[in-house]
Amino acid sequence: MSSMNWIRNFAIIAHIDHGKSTLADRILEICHAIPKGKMREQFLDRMDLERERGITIKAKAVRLQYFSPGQKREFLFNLIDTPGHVDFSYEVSRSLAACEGALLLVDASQGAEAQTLAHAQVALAQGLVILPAINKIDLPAANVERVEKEIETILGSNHLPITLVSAKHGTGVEELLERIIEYIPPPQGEKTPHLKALIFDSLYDPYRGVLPFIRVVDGEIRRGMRILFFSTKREFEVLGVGVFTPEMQEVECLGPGEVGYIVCNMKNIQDSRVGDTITSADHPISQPIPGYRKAKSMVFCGFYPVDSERYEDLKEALEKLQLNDASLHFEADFSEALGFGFRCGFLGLLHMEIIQERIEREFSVEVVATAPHVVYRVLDKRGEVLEIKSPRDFPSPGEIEEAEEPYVEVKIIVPSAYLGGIMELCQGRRGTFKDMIFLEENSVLLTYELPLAEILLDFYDRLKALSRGYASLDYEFVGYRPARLVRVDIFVNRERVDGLSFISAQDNAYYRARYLVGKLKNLIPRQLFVVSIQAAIGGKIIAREDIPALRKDVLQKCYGGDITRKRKLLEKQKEGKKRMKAIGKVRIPQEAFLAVLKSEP
Amino acid sequence: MISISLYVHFPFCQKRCRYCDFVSYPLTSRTEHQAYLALLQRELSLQMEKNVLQGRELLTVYFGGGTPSLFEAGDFALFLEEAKKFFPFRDLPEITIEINPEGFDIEKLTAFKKIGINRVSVGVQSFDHWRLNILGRWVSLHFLTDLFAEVRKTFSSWSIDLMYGLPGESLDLWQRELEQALEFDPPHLSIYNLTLHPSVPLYAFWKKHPRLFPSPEFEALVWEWIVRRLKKEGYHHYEVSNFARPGFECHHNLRYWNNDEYLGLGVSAWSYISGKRRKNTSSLKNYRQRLAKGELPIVFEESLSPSRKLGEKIVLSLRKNEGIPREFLYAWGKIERKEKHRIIERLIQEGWLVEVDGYLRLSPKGFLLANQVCAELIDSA
Ligand SMILES: Nc1nc2c(ncn2[C@@H]2O[C@H](COP(=O)(O)OP(=O)(O)OP(=O)(O)O)[C@@H](O)[C@H]2O)c(=O)[nH]1
Ligand code: SF4
Ligand SMILES: [Mg+2]
Repeated sequence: MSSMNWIRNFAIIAHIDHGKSTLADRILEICHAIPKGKMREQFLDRMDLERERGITIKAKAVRLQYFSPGQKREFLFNLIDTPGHVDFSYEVSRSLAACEGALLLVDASQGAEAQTLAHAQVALAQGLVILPAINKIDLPAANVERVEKEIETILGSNHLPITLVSAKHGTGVEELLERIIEYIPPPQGEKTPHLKALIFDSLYDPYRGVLPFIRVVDGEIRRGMRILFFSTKREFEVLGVGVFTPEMQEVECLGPGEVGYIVCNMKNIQDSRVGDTITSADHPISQPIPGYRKAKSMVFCGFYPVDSERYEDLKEALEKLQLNDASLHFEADFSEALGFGFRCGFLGLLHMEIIQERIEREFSVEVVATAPHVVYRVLDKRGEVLEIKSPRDFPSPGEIEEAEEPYVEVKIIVPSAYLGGIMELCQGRRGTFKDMIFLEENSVLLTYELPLAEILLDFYDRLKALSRGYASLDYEFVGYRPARLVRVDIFVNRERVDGLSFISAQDNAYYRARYLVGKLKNLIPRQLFVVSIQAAIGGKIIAREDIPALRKDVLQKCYGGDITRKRKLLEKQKEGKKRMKAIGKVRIPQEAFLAVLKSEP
Repeated sequence: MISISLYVHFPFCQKRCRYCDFVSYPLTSRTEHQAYLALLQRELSLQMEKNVLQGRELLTVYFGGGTPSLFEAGDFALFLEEAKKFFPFRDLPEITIEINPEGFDIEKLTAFKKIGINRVSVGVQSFDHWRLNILGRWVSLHFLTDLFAEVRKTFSSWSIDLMYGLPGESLDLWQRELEQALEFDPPHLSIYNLTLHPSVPLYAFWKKHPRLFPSPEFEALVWEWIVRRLKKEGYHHYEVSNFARPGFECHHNLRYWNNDEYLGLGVSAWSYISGKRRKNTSSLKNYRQRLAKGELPIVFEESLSPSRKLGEKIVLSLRKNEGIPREFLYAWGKIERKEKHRIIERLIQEGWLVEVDGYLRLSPKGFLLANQVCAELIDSA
């Protein structure tokens, strides 16, 4: 038999925070991948943002050598640690495409949650072997029996044996590794000149260009070979191949079943499409590996530099970030109120927040972000279909023949005690009930169809509040549905601020407009003059508030000639002003633009 | 002859007030006081060596703190003797001392007068017990009555410091505060806002009970009443938070607003000399060590850039009632004259500024928002 017998490719999947990266730590230790002294918690979470937030954002592959005491020989593991957050689900599905098996981890105290189910279903659909494990059994609140029942509901009664582990203390991890060898099949591939490899990720390196991360299915890839990218039909020469140990390390070649990266002097990240197939230019295959759905931006918003002179810097920041994040979209945009900027597309709200934070932190460009919204489709009276990526472009009521908005199928897992409140919430958000299953006596899986726009409108916060934090949520795009929609415009001192416009279901428009206007009154700092805030639909004012003028500053004594203190105070005040966007004479802070997303106090 | 002022800082207090973030050390022994005095003299002579200040006319001296009134008249006499060696003066300079009434020995007043101090500024802050308590202070009205009787007998120029923006303020209460102060008939009053630095105990109180503190609207009301009332009494509102009967303005403070030069001595004192602002170390220990090594105890120095200088000039001039010449604003700064003109005209039209004989001044309503108006003018400079 070929050496493939001694390879195991698997991903760790779970709901957020169930301990994937911590389990990966233990596996790295058992395989002696990290020199002693270099080890730290969640070793694979290397980005600053990942470490600060304590979450995984990018999936990471590692190649490990594992000596199995049971089989008395060495195995090669390719492990992929995946993120748990719903925004990054596409990272999970593409990682799974490079594997034969998945470790499904469930927190013993939390039980199965929405992404437990979602990721398990993706793995099942891709035909992977799922090895379930219950983590955090050391916690006093652990309830193994209950979680076992839930796993059985999700995976069916003939699931593989469940391993009980504590990733924190290392309990049960050796047993789990032996089961990986036993149950997850080695890759099936052939040593042929007809190379077939799948791109599952890529990285931009300023010196070496784009590095596609690949999983070889058949054949071999080595330096000097000419390769062909199936979808782009472009040819490149392989300048190097390597693996992740987790550091990048050059190797001779990657054979069937192996996972690594290649260097091929590629400049444009669009040339390395995730899901694409690589083959040999001299001995091409005829059929690519079935690809998977491209990650689609669901959420859009405008990014504008606070200081309009930094437009070019913002552009450069977005370009650089896009090199490593093919799911980030942007196009130039102009707003009457906010000036030149970009209309950006994201996978979800967390993705948007992270990109904004990285722009401000890594590129020191301060941005004002308008409230995120979905893409609407409008059939206008002339019979033309418009894709609306900015509320500004939404036609007035008279011009619309029919409007459609994106819907998602939402899966919510919630303790049965909170079921009523959650159903009311979904109902109130224009939801359609689909299904309800008990995963276990006390835990329910609810399925609804909802407009995606409602999810953006603080749905998650409400869900958490109504369930004392226990409910979890996953959603998937299911298509466009007709809707009665209107655009609400906001005027500050009679000047329209297009960045504050929003599109709303007609029935809620009044309520939302009044609420937003009230919020803005508190968020826009008082100025030397009275500021009026109005909301209007197609020219008709539906809500109004006035911000009274400032009345008085602090009149300070000037102690012992400390003029500098006084001046610094003024300079700080000026600095604070700079962080806001000027609309006419009124300064509007970032929070005001996000207030559009709050539905109730 | 070029003139100069001296500010001398005494960083010692009997106890700490709950709103205060100045450098101040607990009251110490007489020996330590004398040691500090020696340090001040040492610093003065060092300053004279390193700066070309010799021969300037000394116009004002200000003993501030902390609590300088904890020191003895003899201490100040010693210091003044030293200062006279370096600076000649034609007329007797204005020499002010700050007095903290709490625990003050009234007998000291005549002694102060004897050694040349000719102005006292009494930090009363409030006449109300509850409010004093919140500030972490204590002094009885009875004592203050005695004190001011003596002050009036001894000095022609003196001042009362009051504070507003304290918790539980009502217009009625404030009227009583001011009426009480007026009963003592002070030739000068300083009235300013409570401001809290996050490091002081009262800040935590404010965070916890913000509603106990008056709103800006209410403060504006109080302030407008104060200004009206004092005007009626014949006081002249010569600077944002200072009021005086004609001829009793504090010349020392005016020098700050006029951007005149001053030399600050002592822990955490500021100086403004030859276009440079400087600050001394805030640590008594460091102050001592630096002087022992023959170094100036300066920890911060900035040469004002033209734009900062201009900004300061605007802020400082507008604090004063007389204001700033319009032509001055046109003559300096980066922005075009036309644009400046537009901004100034708008501020006048909106009622923040008034123009008198080519001088731009804050209107009464502009005084209340001095920071905002200054910021707009600086933007235009
Ligand atoms: N008590 C206990 N805590 C654990 C265990 N495993 C992980 N944790 C803790 O759970 C938290 C989340 O762990 P991570 O490993 O970052 O979880 P993750 O699944 O990688 O999270 P995402 O990547 O954000 O989806 C951390 O605070 C861990 O210390 C365990 O076995 N026992
Ligand atoms: S007396 Fe003055 S310097 Fe001393 S603690 Fe009180 S407020 Fe501060
Ligand atoms: Mg993780």
